[in-house]
Amino acid sequence: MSEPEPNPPELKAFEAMLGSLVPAAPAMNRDRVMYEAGRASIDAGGRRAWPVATLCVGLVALVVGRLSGPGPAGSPAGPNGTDGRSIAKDVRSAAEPDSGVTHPEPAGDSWLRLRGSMDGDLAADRTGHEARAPSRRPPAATWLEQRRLLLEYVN
Amino acid sequence: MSTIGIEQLADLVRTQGGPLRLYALQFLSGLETSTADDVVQEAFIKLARQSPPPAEAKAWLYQVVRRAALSMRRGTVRRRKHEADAAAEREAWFQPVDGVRLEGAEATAALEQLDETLRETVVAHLWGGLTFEEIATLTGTSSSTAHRRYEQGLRELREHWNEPCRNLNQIRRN
Repeated sequence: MSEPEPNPPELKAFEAMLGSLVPAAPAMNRDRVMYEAGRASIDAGGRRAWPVATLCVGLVALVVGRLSGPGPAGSPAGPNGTDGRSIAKDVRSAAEPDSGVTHPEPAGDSWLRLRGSMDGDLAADRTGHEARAPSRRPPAATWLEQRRLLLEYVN
Repeated sequence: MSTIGIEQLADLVRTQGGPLRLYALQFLSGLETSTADDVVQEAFIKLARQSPPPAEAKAWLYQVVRRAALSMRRGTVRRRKHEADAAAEREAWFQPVDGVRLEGAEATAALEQLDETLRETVVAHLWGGLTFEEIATLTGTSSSTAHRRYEQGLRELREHWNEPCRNLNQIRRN
């Protein structure tokens, strides 16, 4: 919208004379005004950002903790709903029927460790260590069956 | 949510501090000038805290100052009337500038004789730089009324111009 101007020229001259006067500046604390402005800008930005950031970091920590920490008390369930720990126990007892060696019960994330140790046993068998520990080899049928069970579980 | 930028606020303080003070003073005539200073400072602080900031910060400031000054006047007038030297108070409305034909005290004296609605419009447009549209919103009228008031205010100011000069000279002689 265009601004209407005072029409009479004598008023314009008087207006120009008046306009040349400069209103006195207020005696106010500019530092305080600027301080309040800075504080308000931080408050406005941080009031919502901090809770959101805290929530995000908390969620990330939860997920990372879940992935990297020890699993639940029981190992993962087996393929038919059987407990992984009981399978591991069965496998070990079948593999070592009369060795007399007792292994500690795997804990927490032990399923992977159990797999590793089983693989290690198999490797040892292949490299001829069975001569030193012949009793660790299970009967052929049982061994194959347990291995099939294991592979089935892993796959 | 964001607030007004520091640079924009500093610019408003620099350019609008004086006009806003004058605008507050014309409501608070007869009271201490520091009251107007307080009103203006509070308006700027309020603007700094405003989130989100107003779209038209300048017009918003005039609205806040107007409301605060009128409220202050109602409260203060009831408590006490300031008995300061009239000439000293008048000189504080404008800052002295070398080479300017009009003296601040005379201009203030002439302004004080105006009807408040006319004076408010003249101050807001001439020194505050508000448009007639903005003044209309501020005072709750139409822009044509604001424009008419402005012209009438200028005419009356010019008519009364010699009278405050005579009064001031008399005050100075005494």
